[in-house]
Amino acid sequence: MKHTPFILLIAFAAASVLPLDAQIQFKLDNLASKAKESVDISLPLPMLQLASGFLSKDKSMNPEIQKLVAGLKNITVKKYSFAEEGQYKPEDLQPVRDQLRAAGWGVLLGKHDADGATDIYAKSEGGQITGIAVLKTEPKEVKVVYIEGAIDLAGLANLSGQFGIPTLGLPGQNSDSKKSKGNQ
Amino acid sequence: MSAQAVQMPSRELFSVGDADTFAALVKQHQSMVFSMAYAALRDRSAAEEVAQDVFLELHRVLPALDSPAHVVNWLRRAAAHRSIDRQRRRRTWLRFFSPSENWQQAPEPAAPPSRVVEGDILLTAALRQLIAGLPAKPRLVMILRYQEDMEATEIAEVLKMPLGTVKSHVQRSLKLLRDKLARYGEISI
Amino acid sequence: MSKNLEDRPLEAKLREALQREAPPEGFAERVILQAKAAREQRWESPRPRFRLLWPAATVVATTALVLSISIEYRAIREERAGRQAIQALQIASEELNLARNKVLNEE
Repeated sequence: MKHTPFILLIAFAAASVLPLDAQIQFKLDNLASKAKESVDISLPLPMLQLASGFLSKDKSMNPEIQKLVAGLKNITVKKYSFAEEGQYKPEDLQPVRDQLRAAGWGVLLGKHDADGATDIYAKSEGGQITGIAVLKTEPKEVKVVYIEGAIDLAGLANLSGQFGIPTLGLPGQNSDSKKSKGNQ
Repeated sequence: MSAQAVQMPSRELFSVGDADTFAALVKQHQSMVFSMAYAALRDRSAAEEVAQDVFLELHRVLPALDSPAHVVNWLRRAAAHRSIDRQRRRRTWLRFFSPSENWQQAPEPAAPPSRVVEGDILLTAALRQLIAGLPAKPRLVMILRYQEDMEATEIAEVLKMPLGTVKSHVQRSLKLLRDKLARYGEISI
Repeated sequence: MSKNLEDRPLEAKLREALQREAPPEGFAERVILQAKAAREQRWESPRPRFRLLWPAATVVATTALVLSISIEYRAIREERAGRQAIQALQIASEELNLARNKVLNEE
């Protein structure tokens, strides 16, 4: 088929640029162009299915990771690190916030202080969380994490510590018996 | 309550395009809505989000509201329910990491172990914190009662709650507050 | 509301403590602007979804074609996606834990 390479090119390019479930658009090109380092991961459902294929074949892979990925429909992670402070504006993330709210996502947490801001949005259906979005700004860094699907929050939190990723030593982590000191 | 301050156009004349009416309602009631959300959540940015959502929803439903009193009741009900929803979502999130709240776990007041005396500003802070620590529905009842100065029947109407339940929430909350405050020494209020 | 005489001073103190608070500066203006934008978006919203449907359908069809042609190419993509998923979940886990820690320390 003489058109196969061309079709391959289009398919690969399109799959990288246009997620199937394109409800939330993360058009942060203005941040990417100014960042000295960036991480840009976009994994819609077909890509996550491929990922599951890879993870299931690797015998050394922790089954918890496979279980986490198996329930997901979309993961998008954007991380931009800047050389200097002031190279981006917090308002640059406003289009993402506006889309999340317009799509019915609710704000779980909004912490804003002198060091930056952390906003966590969630979508829930039938009492289950089916989407989490974290928007975090610091003086020299912006992070956006967007996950859709059947999310196991505890499983996701416990991922720190796997594969040599150091745990953050947070209270209650990997422990059901510890009570948080904040809830007395 | 100055529910009469903004003249509502008749239903036939009012449309979503009547930006002036909406703007006037926002300016008139922003303090009420924000305060309700803030008293419930004790988080200014969360309260601002909730208040914003309430007014955006008001903008959508405004043609269906036909009097200033109707608007006020609607706003109170929306602020109450959205604050509960917000708290519930947060609790869902925290459930994975910490025990759930219940009546007995209303937090100790932030006041130091010294005596809490009448007129002490720490008492104000302690009361706010104790109210914030109540379970969602009793908290809203107390906010509507003591911040919005509503009667039990009005609260029952806004929250769609039986009158007896409203009164019970008030009584139990007052008792809990007295018990919690008493642990800090002699109560002179 | 409370018939208990003991509660009257406490009720007065509660009224003092639960005074209304002013919202942040510019709140009303922001809400009014957002309402205007939301109204305009309501009129435009059907089109973006429709615009994305055709290219989304194209991606499904061509992706299926690619996968069926080359098993080796699929394996390369699987590995790339798998490693990206791990990296993404690692970042997500870290951020959720940091946020959770912030919340719990302030409870």
